[in-house]
Formats: sequence, structure tokens, C-alpha cells
Amino acid sequence: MIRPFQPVSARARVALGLSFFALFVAVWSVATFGGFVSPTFLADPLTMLADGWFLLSRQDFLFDIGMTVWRVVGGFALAAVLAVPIGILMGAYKPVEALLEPFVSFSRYLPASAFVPLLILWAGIGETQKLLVIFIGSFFQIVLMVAGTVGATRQDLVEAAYTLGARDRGVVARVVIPSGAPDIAEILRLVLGWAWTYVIVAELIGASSGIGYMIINSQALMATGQIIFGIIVIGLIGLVTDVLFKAMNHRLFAWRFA
Amino acid sequence: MSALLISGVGRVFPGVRGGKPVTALQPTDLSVPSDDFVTILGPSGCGKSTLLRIVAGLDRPTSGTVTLDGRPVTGPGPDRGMVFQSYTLFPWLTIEDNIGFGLREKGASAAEARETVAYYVDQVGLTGFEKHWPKQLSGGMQQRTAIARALANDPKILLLDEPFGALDNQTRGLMQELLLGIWERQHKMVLFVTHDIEEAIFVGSRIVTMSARPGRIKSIIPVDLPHPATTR
Repeated sequence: MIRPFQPVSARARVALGLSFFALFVAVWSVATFGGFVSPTFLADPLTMLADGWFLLSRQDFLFDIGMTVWRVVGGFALAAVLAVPIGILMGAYKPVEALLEPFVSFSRYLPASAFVPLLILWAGIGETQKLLVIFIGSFFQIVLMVAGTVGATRQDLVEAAYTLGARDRGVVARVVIPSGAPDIAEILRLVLGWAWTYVIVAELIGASSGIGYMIINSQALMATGQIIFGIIVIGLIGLVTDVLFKAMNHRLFAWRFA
Repeated sequence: MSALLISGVGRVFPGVRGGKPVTALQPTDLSVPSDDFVTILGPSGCGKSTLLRIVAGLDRPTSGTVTLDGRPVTGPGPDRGMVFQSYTLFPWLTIEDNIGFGLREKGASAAEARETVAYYVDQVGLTGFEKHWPKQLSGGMQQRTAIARALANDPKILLLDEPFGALDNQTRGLMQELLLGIWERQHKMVLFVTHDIEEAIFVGSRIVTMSARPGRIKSIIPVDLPHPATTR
């Protein structure tokens, strides 16, 4: 019997998680091997694996993966390093919020992908342009979300700190930041996921390496197996990053999970 | 000789959505000599918490002044330790780091801080829980930590805002005795806000009763019982 909020055992959790992947592959296999979908439009799982092996062994696809990962991590890290402190300042200091909030809210809606043509004009088609697309896509989101988290700091904790002799800077350093840190880490995990969308968009146009570049090339060749392999690789990298992020949060913020 | 002097302190909150301003506290006078354990007793809305927050420096009076040892109160500070009704331990710090928060802020040496923290852990009976997170402790234990955290700063006055309000009766009784025991040893000024008559009589040596709408002091009654009361 399934009852609301009842926990499941660790083994059942893994088994259930894997079984859905199995179901997904099964449905895909039936659709392709069963002849319900033309191979021109959707490759079957085995073709996908063969294409993937071809990419890895002949086309140096590992290099493309490396390039894409580096772009995501580089652009994202650049955005995070600048956006988190600005977000903290906005959340804690109301004049800073009043100054920046309207502009950041506006900029957040500017689609990063729409900047691609402009960025090519400004920064060429090199790495700077790729990093900038990811930066624009991540920076404003992180600023706003971090500001929101910091703004929601429990005021009774802030007051307690003041009555214990903390000064303004002490309150920011020893109450606002530690109390918001787990949520900020969660925000970064979320936005990193979005950064993967931006990197592929950046690589679809004016790139000569990367997973996105491979995907757009494969389109010209009607190699749907390669496209699907590329997408699955992105998904797997995302899954691994997620697991790592979660493990790190459990270690860093043990008090949350105690 | 330290003393707390409250003179003409009143608090008016501006009207909400065009309403009339609300007088939470009429201009009030009160003096608390050192060593005194004063309880402020009144129903909700009588301004007792407002008065305590003003003494703590967390709220500003619209009129009047508060002075502690002749120095006017302009904001919160470590000379006035506060224990809140809600649990306000820092959830990311262990019990001992919570108790040592003020000491670190003050710049005390690590050795000194360790010694003081150990002393207060013992005083509030939390030995063995130093490395726990607040959420792993019961409500009573959390409030004991909060008292220890306030006392570790060696404040001149301890302000308590219904500190045991959320606790069950048995725990509350134990906490009252614990607080009195500490007070007997340290003889600090204490301002203790409560709406519980029994509690006010049991812990206080003087009771300030307040009434609501508008909040004001109704009477100041010395407790004619041996203080601290030892039996219930």
C-alpha cells in the first residue's frame, strides 16, 4: 500500500528510479524496432549506441564534451562569482535593492539566446562569446533568486544576533550568509541546469566544437542516433552534477539535514 | 550600582491603511535596581513585549528614554541579553557555538570562550549536547541554550520575553527553577515578561502589572514571599 509521505527504503528507491529508465527505453524500443516510427526520424536504441561509439572512437567526441563542459562551468562560475555577492547585497541592503532590482528584473526576461547574434558581432565566434551567452543567461537569475533568499532571512535570528553584540557586518557575515547558504547552493544547482540549455544554443550557432556543434552537424546528416546520443550525454552529465551537488550540500549543510 | 531607568517611554504605531494610530504603550516610568528580578505581567496587547523590545533596543520609543547605568539606550547591544519566546538559536551552529556566538563577536580569545561556554553548558544542564544542532534538541533544551547564550555575554540585564510560553507545564516549572537558580548565583537584573500570573509570582521579586488598550502600567507589587520561592 502506498500511503502519503511514507518513506521508501534505499534499495526500493534505486530500483524504482532505474525501472523508469528501463520503461523509457522499452517504449522507445517498441516504437522503433516495432516499425511504428520511421528510422529517418527516430533512431532505435542500438543505432544510437553504435552512433555514439562511432562518435567517441572516430570523431573525438570526448573533446567536444570537454569543450561544452568547460564552457558551461566557465560561464556559470563567472556568473556565480559576481551574482551571489550582488544578490546578497541586494537582499540585505534595501537601497541597493531599490537601485538594482527593477533593472535586474527587466534583464532577466531578456532571452540569452536572442543575444547570440549580437554577441557574435561583439565578441566573435570564439570562446568569449560562448561564455558570455551562459553568463547573460545565468547572472540575472542568480542575482534575483539570491536576493530573494537573503531578503527572507529570519528577522528573529537577526535581532538575536544584534542583542548578542553583533554589528551590521557581523550580522551579514554570521547570520545572513550562513542562514541563506543552503538555499543559495540550491539556486546554483538549479541555474547550472539552465546553463546547459544556453550552452547548446550558443553552440548551435557559430561553433566548431562542442556537443551542440555535433548535434547541428548531425542534423545535416539526418543522423538522429548521434543527436539522441548527444542529448543523452548531456542528460547524464546533468544527472552526475546533480548527485555531486546534492552530496556536497549534505556535507556542507549537515545542520539542515540533521 | 547598575540600574535600569525607563522614563516616559511610550510607543505609538502609525495607523494601518488610513486607520488611526495605535498607542501600544502609554508613556511609562519604571526603575529597576540592580539585583532585581522584575516580572511584567499582562494580557496580550498590553504593550509588555513592546516595552521589553524598547529596552532591548530592537524597537524605538516614540517618546521618553531608557537608560542603563546612566547611558541612554539607542540600539541593541551585548549589555542587554535577550531571550525570545520563539526559538532563535542559529540552526547552523552547534549548541556550544550558539552559546559562544556573542563571545566571538566580542573578540574573546578561543581559550576564554571555551571556558565560558563550558561553564554555561554546565549551568543549564546541557553537558553531552555541546555538538548537537538546535533542531536535535527539545523546546526546553533550546530555550536553556538561549538563556546560556544570553548569559555567556555577561550582560548587565537579562530580558526574557515569555521565554517558556511554548513549553509544557512540567518543563516550564523546571525552567523557572533553573532560571532562579542561576539568578541566585549571579544576581543580575532580570526583566521577565509573561502573561502567566503564577509564573510572575513564582519567579519575580516584584511584579509590574499592565493592562491593555492603551497599554499602561497598572500597579507595581512587591512579592511578599521568600524569594526565590523554593516550593511550589
